[in-house]
Amino acid sequence: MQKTPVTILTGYLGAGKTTLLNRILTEPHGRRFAVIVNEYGEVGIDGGLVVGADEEIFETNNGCVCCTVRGDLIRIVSGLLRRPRPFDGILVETTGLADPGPAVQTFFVDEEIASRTTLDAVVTVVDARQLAEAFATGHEAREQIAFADVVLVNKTDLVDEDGLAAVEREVRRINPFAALHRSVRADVDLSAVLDRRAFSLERILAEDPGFLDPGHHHDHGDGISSLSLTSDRPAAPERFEAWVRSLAAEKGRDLLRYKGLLALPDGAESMVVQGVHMVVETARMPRRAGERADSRFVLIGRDLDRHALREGFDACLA
Amino acid sequence: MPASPDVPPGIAAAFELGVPVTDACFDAAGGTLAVATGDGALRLYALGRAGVTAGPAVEAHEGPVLQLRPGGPGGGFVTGGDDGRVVALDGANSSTAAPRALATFSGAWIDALAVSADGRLVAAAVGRSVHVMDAAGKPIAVLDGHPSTVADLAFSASGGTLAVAHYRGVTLWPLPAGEPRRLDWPGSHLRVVFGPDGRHVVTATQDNEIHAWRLADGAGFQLAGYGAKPRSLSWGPRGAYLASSGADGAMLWSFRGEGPASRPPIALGPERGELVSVVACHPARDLLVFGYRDGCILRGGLEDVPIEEVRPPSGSAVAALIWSPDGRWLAAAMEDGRLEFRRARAAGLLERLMRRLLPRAA
Repeated sequence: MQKTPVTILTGYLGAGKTTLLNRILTEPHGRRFAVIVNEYGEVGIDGGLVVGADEEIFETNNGCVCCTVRGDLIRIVSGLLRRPRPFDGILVETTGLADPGPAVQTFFVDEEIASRTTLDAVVTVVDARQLAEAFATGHEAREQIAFADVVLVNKTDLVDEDGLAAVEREVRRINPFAALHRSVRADVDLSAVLDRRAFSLERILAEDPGFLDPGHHHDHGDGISSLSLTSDRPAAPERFEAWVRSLAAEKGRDLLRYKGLLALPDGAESMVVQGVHMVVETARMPRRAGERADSRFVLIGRDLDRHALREGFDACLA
Repeated sequence: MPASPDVPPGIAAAFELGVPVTDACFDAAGGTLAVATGDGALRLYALGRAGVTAGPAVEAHEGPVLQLRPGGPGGGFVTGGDDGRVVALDGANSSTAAPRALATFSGAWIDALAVSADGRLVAAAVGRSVHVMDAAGKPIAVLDGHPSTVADLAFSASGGTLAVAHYRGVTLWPLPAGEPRRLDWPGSHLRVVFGPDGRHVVTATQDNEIHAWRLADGAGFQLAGYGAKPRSLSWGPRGAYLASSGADGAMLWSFRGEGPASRPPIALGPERGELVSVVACHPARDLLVFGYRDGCILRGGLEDVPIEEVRPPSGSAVAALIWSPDGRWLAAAMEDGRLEFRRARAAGLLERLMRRLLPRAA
């Protein structure tokens, strides 16, 4: 069965999420979307359906934060999947003050939803003019950037080039692997936000992401930061896999996103890894021609213990 | 709807609906099966001596039919849809059945619905509230104060209590009025059923567990070991055991004596290594049919009833398995819209002999 792709749209209050949503829906792409927004009710749109949701955060009975899901999303997505004519995609708009974690986890942790949908990407809209203010107000704006696969720096017409460069630096400090786009009124090419397959291991391998920008290691604000671990040496696959799984089990709560591409000693294969909190996926894949023979692992999280992570990573090198 | 030309042996009738099946049930009299589908229709099938006759497809809802229950005055069915309507279909045995809206809650999805056993009360959840009405749609009560969107509803056998499943537990409402009683357990409760003898309330949870409360003293039992949500729950004869889906094989918990935590569950058909999606206990006998996500259906029982294949795997998950109230017919609906009717075989001479002669452990 073809899995329905899901795109999560996040962004601080007033950043331009709804503008982006309307842009996606009104472009002449011929696709049928279902849209889940945080208002009550249900309205039809051209070729689609808008369903209102009440953000309901459900913890599991063991209280594990990493297993927290959005109960309303499970209910509504299950209902949408019962329709006879499948949707080409589902767009989920979160509220401006939402931590995107539970929405993202829903598509990995809930087995029924995970078997029938695939999370395509988390797209975060940032107001170029208001980012500093959003950062000062609370941790949500940082979490939204931390979870992003695509960051849209919006309202660029209201900020000068120096200001934009500063905003992009801030975004990069938190999230070194998101694709960055500048926009005015969210006018971005749809290919930049749809069909990203951002959680696919094949995609991580194919993009050979320049996700490493080992310049910025400053801890920041309320402790959300990124760490890029790199080495010229290949990694020992069993050791690395064991390490990353124990890391996810023990520290998953504070790990928001992580991705890695590691050369293996035989020279024929690479190891690809991606994770969200405690959910880790790894695979060995054949190396592509021209692929770098080094090891790179990037983590975005809260209060990262840089020293311990570096040591753990180094111990996995062959 | 034409019967499929390729009806395998053992099947009395088969139909291809061409749309996803969301639910199915027999009416109280057992003469008519209703199948709810993603296109908003209710398809009716009449059972008779001559076999199965496909009746009309009744347009009940604009979106998918989310909930389907037997009930209403004069038999028939009650449905809930994502068009916000609660619809009754009276006189399901006649070909002139016409849907009648009991209530409309515009903008809401009716994905929790219950009808009392006597057919006189209907309860429908709208967000966090529950609307209780009579069979004509006349409002009787609005129950509020639940901590989340209501996930499921169940009437006690007498209709005197309504159980409401939600985040962090279940609320029991005495009807028509009275103070509610809250049964607490962390996590999100997705399904709720009363035991046939009224001693227990049981839920299926988001955490891939079953939780059972003994009503006499409020004691709770956490029943774990599932790989998926045990959404399908079915009671064995006289409530002796509860069968459940969500594991490799059908999981049976004994509710005799000390209750379900006192002995480990029994798994039927775990060796297939495939998740069971639906379970259905025969209304009178110790006989269980259970369907897997790959479309395979097996039958077996707690007491030395050998496991036998009813249907080979076909790819599409079993969406519903329903015994007729007299236990003589078994209907099976697949997710992809295939519907099959089988005549139940009476317990064979050999089976009865084996049960008598062989030791329990055999």
